Amino acid sequence: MPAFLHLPDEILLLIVRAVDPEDLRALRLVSRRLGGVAQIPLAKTCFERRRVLLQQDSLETLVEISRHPVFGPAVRILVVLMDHLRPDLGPDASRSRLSGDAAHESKSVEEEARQYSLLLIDQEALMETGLGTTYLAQAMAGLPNLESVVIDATEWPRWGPIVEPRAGPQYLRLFMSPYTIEFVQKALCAVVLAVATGKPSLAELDIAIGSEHGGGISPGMLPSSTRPALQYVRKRPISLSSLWLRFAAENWTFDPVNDELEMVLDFIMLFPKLQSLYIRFEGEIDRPELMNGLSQRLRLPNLRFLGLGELQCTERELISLLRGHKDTLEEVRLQGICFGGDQGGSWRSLLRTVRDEQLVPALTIEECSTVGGWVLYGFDKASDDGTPTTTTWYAERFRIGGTGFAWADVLDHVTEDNKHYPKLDLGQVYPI
Amino acid sequence: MAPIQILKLQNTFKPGGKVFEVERAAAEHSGLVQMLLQDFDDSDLEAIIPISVDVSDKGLAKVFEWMTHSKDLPKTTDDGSVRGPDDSAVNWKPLTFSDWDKKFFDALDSEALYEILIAANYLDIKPLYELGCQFVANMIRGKTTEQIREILNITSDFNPEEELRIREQKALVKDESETAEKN
Repeated sequence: MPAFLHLPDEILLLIVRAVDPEDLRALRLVSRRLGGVAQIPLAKTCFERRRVLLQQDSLETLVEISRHPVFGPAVRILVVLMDHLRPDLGPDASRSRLSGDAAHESKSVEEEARQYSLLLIDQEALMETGLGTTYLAQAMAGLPNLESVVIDATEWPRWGPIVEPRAGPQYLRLFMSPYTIEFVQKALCAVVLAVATGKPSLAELDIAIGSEHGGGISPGMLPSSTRPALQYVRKRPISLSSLWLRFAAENWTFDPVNDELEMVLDFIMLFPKLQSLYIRFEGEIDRPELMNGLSQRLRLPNLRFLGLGELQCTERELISLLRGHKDTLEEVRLQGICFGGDQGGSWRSLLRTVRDEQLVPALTIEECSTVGGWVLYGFDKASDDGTPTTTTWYAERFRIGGTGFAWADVLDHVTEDNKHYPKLDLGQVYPI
Repeated sequence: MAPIQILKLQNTFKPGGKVFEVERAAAEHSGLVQMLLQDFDDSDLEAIIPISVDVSDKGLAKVFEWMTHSKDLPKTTDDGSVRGPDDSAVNWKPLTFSDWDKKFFDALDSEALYEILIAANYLDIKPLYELGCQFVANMIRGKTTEQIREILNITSDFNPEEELRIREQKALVKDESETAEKN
């Protein structure tokens, strides 16, 4: 009579792959054989993308994972959560809300406040003493397949009041509390230093704080390279090849005293070997000085991919940025870029320059515009019954070069016998 | 000569196995049978086709019952494509339990269920072993370790130290997002 454990491994594997992660955890303890079979799907489900909080118990667990023969090698993406405790958001802050409650509830609030206060002290000690960096570096060094570190905040601020994810500027102001800015700055410093000491071969750093909620970081959250801790990084540059930065447009103050662009460039230049750089502003930013500064001051000697999102700029500035990286650029992706103002320029002219000067082999344009209309591309579509062709216009993403449309066809009308080629008419603006 | 429409299959794993007569359209769910049909002439197929798998005739009968009921469903071929009844290519769709499938699996005892899985795996009947695995997965979904042991009739072979060590690793397999949610 066959028993469950008589089933061949491939069947057991199909079964364990069909259950939920929580069930995999239970299956590990059922028997040696089932535990062994469940281990690989479990590693893939629970460890491929691993989250860690900047708290001692969470960091200790990460170090333990890095020592595990199956779970450690499974980790490919490490998400460092910026969730944190804030002194102004402890249970004390909500005491007034509970003032009418029974006395024993008041005692329980007191106890909660005491625990919160202890955790806050631990959190600060972890960041101040460098222990957080030590744990992270130790763990990263033990994760042989770690490719990417993502900085994110899925629930921010931790233990804070419940805030609607899309509460707009009010929510963003919460991000901007001085304590949070300082915490993120220290946390980023810890992560960068940990990468430098524990995983200098790391490929990608994705700083995506708050992006799920339409938020983003502010320049003030980026640690300055003059910080003593980052001097080490400056001397021994990280081989990081890919950096993604998502900023909250609202969080740029453009205060003349603080050169926010310099803060950003200073951070980017911590990684001189960058090959891919993506900068996006959540919520369109219409400060012309920003792109002007970027086009003049950003120079990365090895830059192969450049992505820009949600920026207002001019054709001239964009061309200047591309010319500055002409020798290395292989691909550019523009998302939500708007040519604004009288000097905005034209997309037709930009594309002609890019094509004629061969500034970049492949260019993707996604929902870009001039003021008042989208950049469109059109397709001549032949009808089956032989009636004249019609052109359909699109505004969404299209790619020129690489696997996309041929540069030779860009801006040139196609001939009658070549109808299947796209008809790009990018100089014209078609209002939607 | 018209192609043979009824195939005779016999399990020779143990002596005295029953000879099953299975419609060709039903038997073609099996990757193994598809290979045999490619390699053999129709004259060869008039003879009994031997198969050898460690399951009882009762278990095998249930497999052929499912194949016969599902004979008109698209079939997976050895090149990975999915073919309809007229041999035309059709799009693969995730498997779901039909009402008939539900009744079929619900009526099985664990011995028959495991035999079906073993035979479907040997005969390479992808939809049947996938449904069977899904059925077992549904049986253990949301259950504790102890409940799973009871459902699958498994005795733990961990020694107490090993079990304690794995239980202590609980924090390892817990994701931090869960911690944040609980707080």
